[in-house]
Amino acid sequence: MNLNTQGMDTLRLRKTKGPWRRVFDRLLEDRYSSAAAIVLILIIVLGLTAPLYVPFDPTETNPADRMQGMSGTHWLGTDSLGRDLFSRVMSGTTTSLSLGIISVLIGLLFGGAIGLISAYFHRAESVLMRIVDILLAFPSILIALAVVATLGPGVEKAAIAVGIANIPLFARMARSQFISVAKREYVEASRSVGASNARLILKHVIPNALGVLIVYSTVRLGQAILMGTTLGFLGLGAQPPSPEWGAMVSSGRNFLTSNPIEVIVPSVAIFITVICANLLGDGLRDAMDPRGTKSYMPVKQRNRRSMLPKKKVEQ
Amino acid sequence: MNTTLLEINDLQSEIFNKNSSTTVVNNVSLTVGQGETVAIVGESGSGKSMTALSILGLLPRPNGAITSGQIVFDAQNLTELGEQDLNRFRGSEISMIFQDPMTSLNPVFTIGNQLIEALRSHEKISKKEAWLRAVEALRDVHISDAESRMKQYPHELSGGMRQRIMIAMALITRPRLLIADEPTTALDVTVQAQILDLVKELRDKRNLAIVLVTHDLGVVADIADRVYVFYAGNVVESASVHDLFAKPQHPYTQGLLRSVPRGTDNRLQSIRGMVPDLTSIDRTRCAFADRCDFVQQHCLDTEPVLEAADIEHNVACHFYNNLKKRESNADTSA
Amino acid sequence: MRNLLLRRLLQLPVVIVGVLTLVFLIQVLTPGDVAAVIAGDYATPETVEEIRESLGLNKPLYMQYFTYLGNFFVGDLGNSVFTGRPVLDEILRTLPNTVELMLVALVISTTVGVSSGIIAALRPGSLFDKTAMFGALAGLSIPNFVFGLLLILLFSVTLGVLPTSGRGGSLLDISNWPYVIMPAVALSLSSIGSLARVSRSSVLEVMPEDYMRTARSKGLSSRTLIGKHALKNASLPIITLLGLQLGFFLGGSVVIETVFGWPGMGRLSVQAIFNRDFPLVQGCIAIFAIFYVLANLIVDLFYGVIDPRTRVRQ
Repeated sequence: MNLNTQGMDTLRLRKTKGPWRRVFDRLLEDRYSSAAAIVLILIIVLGLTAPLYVPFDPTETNPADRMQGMSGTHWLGTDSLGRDLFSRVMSGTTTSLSLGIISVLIGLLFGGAIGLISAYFHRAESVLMRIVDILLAFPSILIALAVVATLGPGVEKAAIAVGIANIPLFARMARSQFISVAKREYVEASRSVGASNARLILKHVIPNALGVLIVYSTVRLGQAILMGTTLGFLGLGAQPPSPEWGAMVSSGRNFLTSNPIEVIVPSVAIFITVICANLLGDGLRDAMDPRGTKSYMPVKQRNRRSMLPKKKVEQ
Repeated sequence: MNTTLLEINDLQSEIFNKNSSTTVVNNVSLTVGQGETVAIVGESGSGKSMTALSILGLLPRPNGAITSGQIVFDAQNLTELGEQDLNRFRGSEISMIFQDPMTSLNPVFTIGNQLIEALRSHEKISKKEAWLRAVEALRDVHISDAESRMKQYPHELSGGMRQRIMIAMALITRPRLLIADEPTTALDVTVQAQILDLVKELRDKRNLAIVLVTHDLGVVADIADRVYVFYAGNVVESASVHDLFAKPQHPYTQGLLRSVPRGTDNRLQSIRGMVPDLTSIDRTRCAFADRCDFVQQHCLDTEPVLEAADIEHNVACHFYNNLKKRESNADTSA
Repeated sequence: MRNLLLRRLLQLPVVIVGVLTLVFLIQVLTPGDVAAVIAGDYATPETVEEIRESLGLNKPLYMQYFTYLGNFFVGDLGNSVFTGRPVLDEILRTLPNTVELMLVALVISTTVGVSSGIIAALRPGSLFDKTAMFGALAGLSIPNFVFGLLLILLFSVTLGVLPTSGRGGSLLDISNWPYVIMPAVALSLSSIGSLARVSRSSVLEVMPEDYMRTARSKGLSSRTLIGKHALKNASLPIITLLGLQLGFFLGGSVVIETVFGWPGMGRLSVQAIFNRDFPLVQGCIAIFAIFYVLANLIVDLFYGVIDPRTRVRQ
């Protein structure tokens, strides 16, 4: 009597491309995210190669040249100690970026491990998730501050601090992701033919959950860079004379009136990097979202709904 | 059945996407008389729900729209009206109930609030009066303990109960036409029967006209006076319930009827192939040709139009006259 | 409803003890001898010993832990190593200023963020929508200290209309309002961004719901449709986010108060970290976290009021 079952084949047949390919295609369709990815790659390349092309030593002071405006020699002017701002901001790229990337990796690795353990070992779950809950009771920047208060200031310590602040967020995300992957049909199927737990986790669960976690890492990257520069600004991260962007803003702050470019240059660098990371994160998230067709197609949606098994309702 | 209440002429509705549009309702015409129950039958994606939604201008926004045709209700062409003027008809002259009672009520407002709101947006009456009318409306759909139900939230009630509330809400303003979009699909079989009985009872009591959208031929046989069979956005056959079940003319209708389980015959057949994808359908040929057992070259060249096969019995098939013979041949050869 | 409240209240002490445990760990996990760190590089061994004695660092760890917990619950958070004054006094002196700043920021970000998000959602793809969403993304991408400095550059240095730093006095006196404008705006920047984005997407998510179609079928005016049916459902994620924003404000206050010389707890805690003033650092972080937990408890209660479904959840 039910005529709806035929719709199912139609939907299955449409799935032809691999999931990663589809995500990539959709990302390419998104002009802003593609542009952001390109700019981000450019920033990374320019940052890594900075020592090859910057005209001045980024840390060498030269009081005679202090607070000069933009010129042929000093493209972006100089700071209050006569250091070339272009050389400093380009050399600082690696510090600020790697701070963000390392801290996200720390979050991904440890948070992912905690998520995996608590998704599979029920005894560990309650304890681990309680701890995660308590850590989530702290705003992330407070965790970072607490860690810096413990370890003392420094750029490596700031990376660890921001990383630790990331762990509970990733743990939450990873746990729900691992649980949802474990419930999927093919995992159930492998389990039913007697695949071992370890094999299941390695072969099916981790690769499938990783996609979402990598996207989440990109989403967090912008915030991590921001938090790293914030610690730098507060004087708790990278220490002078390191050309880290946050620290540069902090030292330029005292000359806001006389030499505003000293604040503006590193600020613009932070802004461009973070907005690109955010755009890329947004784009990846949209591309991963299976419902993420931006103009929604009601006909298909109605089909899909009527495919669901009839709801059991008691009167 | 004497006077026409609703008349749809050559209705065409489309869903627009970024660079393309899909015709989900294609030149559909149908009429509903006063107090008449008209069923619209078809598979999902046949445009039956979209036709129902078009009547009240409820196509999904912002990318759904009626692109041509008329919907005349009581001598007023509804397609000409703006949102505000249409609101005078919505929920007052014409009401609608939907497929899924679990999601069709707003979860954050009480039943009473939603019932009263339906009433007070069309009639200037006091809150107290509206409350009494709402309680009465709940009693009309046989909800026990109506006063306390008023204060409950949708999630506290079962699916069947919620569908009763949807019906009460639709009928509280005493409309002349009720559009029911798959009203029993999401419900348990036993509850389905209760809801259908309720609809029949209210229809007879109030001389209510009903447009019933369904894919369930059992429901059609139970309640409808006349039937329109939809396929790929077109009407392919229309007839009285008796004629349709007794002498179906379109091969698609015949296929549908064969796929309904009956007591006497235990062979159950399904129509081969699958519902065509409306986004890529070719409107210059018969939309059913790919699935038809009797397909001819002519079917692939020309789109058939509705023509009278009998009194009040229309069919859109080039070869409906010859089908009977062919069918018996096919049976013997198989 | 009562169940939910009870459960949350029962959880509260557990969470607070957890918070205090982590805060206690700050001292334990600090590499090297805390007493020596506090005393500084040139202290005599006697001074170090004295500090060790006064902080109870010579006692076994579990004793220190229970003493810390016990003292905390009777309001003894220790004394600041730097000023010698009780930590609680320092906090109570600065907390109201921080709360004041946060409340102003909350009002600004809610009105600006939520309303622009809703307007954007009602006309998706419009110029307003695009501008607002780009602005929101930009807001999330500018560090608040940079934005604060830009505000100073514009309104204090260039235009000379707003004071660069300090608090002035009570907000009850309207002449003190100029002091709070820039810090509050700088603090609310990223919240405006995320609130606008979430408000937009939650309104957009609600619009195609079945119950919205039902509401349309009843012939309700678009004002009732949006203002009543859409908004109440869309407000759930917005309210959750508001709770999280309080956390951002707490974190942000650390930076913003430093930039604008606002005499609040954020600046206090940064100074404490610099001074290696462990009792004060611990006190500040503990109070911040507890404040955040309580704020989220209130948000959860709000949630229950708005969404009837959460009231019966076991």
